[in-house]
Amino acid sequence: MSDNKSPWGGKDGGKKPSRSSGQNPWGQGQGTPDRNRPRPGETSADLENVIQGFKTRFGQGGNGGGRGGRPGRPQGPLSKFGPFGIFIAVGAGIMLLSTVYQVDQQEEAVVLRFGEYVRTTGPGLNFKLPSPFETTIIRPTRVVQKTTVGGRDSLMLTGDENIVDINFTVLWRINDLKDYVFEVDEPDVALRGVAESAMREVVGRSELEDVITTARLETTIAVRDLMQLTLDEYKAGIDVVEVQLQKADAPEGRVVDAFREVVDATQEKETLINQATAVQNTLVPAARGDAAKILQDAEAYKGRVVAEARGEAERFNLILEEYTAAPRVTRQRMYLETIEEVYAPAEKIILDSSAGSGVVPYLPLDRLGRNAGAN
Amino acid sequence: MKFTTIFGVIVALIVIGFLTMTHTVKEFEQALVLQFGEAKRVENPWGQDADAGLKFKSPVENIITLDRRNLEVDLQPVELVASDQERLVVDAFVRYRIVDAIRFYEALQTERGAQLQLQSIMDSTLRDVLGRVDRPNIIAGRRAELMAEIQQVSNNVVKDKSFGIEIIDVRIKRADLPPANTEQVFNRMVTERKQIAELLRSEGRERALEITSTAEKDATIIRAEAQQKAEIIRGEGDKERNNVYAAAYNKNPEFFAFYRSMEAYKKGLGTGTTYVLSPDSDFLSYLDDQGGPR
Repeated sequence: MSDNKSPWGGKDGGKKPSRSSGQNPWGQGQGTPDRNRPRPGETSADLENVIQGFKTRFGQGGNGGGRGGRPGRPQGPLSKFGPFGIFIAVGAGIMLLSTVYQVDQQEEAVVLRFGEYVRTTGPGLNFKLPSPFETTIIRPTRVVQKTTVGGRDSLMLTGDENIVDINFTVLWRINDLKDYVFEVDEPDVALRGVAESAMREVVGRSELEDVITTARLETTIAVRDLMQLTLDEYKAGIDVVEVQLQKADAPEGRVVDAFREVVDATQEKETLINQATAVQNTLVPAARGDAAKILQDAEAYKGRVVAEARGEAERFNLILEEYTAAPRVTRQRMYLETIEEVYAPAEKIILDSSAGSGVVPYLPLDRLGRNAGAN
Repeated sequence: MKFTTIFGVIVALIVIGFLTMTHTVKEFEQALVLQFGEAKRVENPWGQDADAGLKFKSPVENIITLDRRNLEVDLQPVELVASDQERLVVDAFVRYRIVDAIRFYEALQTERGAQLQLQSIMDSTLRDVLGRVDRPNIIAGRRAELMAEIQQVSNNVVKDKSFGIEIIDVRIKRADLPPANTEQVFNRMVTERKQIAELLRSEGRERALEITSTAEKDATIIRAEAQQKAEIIRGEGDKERNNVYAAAYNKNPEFFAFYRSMEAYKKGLGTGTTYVLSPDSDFLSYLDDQGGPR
């Protein structure tokens, strides 16, 4: 029972459902009462800034909460209104300041009047009713935001019952601020869950080999489309720009080592083939060289024997001419010259056949070779 | 001074009155109005056009604020057995919405209550639906279809229990193997890869051997063919030589025989030959008889 009756409301940080007797209309908290998360860019923060700005501009100490008069001028003009008057004046000042809010170039603001949506405004200086009546929710809508999924628990099952290690990043933008704020609770959390589910669904129907090599792009596109479909179903007001695979590998440790071994083996195979090719490149040309030599030798032989034959034939022809001219004499001469040449260096034994009649001549063949330097 | 006091009191009364007679409903909230604990009405309920903003109420009415948005329950992982007796750890989340604030408040009170109820409902729904399907289908084949079925089944359950919520979507984040099985998968992946590596290596060896032996064969054939050509060439040479000789010697075969014999004696009868000669021989015919052979 947080019976919050302060008109200049604190945040209704109560737990849901806050059973207050009447929700405080002056509350500035933008109510996600279930979770005490600070909501950046809310009125209260803006208000602080404005007050801060105001204070520095007027060189005024103290805070907007009205701790009494200004320390420098205790007898100031405000003092005649008493504490209540000052309270009213300060309150009025704060309300006046809260009619202005600033939206950055990359942001948009949703304006709520008593919590009801009234308008969406763009960048620049904007005006609204003072804080209790109108509040703003400001979010960056033109910036592409990043959500990274994976890390400690990034192992996924593939369609061929393998396990792959995937980290990925989703780039997204708010494309409809109204939906983003009003339709889905904690859209960023939803986005993360949808991303993980989509990635695992896509990987679950792919093959490991494809995911880590050729089909990376297809995977990211499929995940993006699936995410967009789901988020549109939720009316999350989110536009998924791109999904990027940071890492898609076999699981760390021995599995990755085994995968590397395959790469090494591929290299080894190539090496072996290259070496063999090198051998081929030496053997075949060597054989061709040998072949050429064999042929040339044969040609040489042919040339030689033909030339020799022609020479000898020519010599014979010449001698024959001589012989035809004087056959008897030439023949006699040739015979004698030859015999002379043959008998000259040799050992000779002359036996008269008639002298040997009646006597058996003894021929010591074993001793014959001695005088002749037998070969 | 008096005037200001009175004025102050009046202002205070107005403010207090205003605070107890009004409440605000944000665009993304629905407000359940209770009077002495009895539900009176719902402001900005789901299913109708948005109707947020400043609302009036009587001072005795209490407001329960509920979310109007699409809400998430992240479920605890469930370990279940698929129809092929394989174990599987399934981690899912549910997106739901409060569609009937009064029923919701009766049955569940808060989002925390909803979470507890949904956890147990989803537990059994997941087991039911996925237990009828084998693991490959859960992981790959029919994942999307199964998620739709789980959404329908669980939505019917919460309808029957009239929790005042609608299950918009159920998404399986992870459908993984239990740690023990993961280890087995790693083993299989490793052995598969090693097998592939071994195959690649032996393919390399095979291919290399094929290349070298082909090269050797080619080399041998190249040499043999050259040898063959060489023999033919030599033969041609021999043939030509014979023709040349024959052409020359046929002019006078008798003289050729004589001439060639003489040549052969010169070459063939070298030193170291011992001749036993008869004085009757042609060469020595003048040795005994100056008249020469008769």
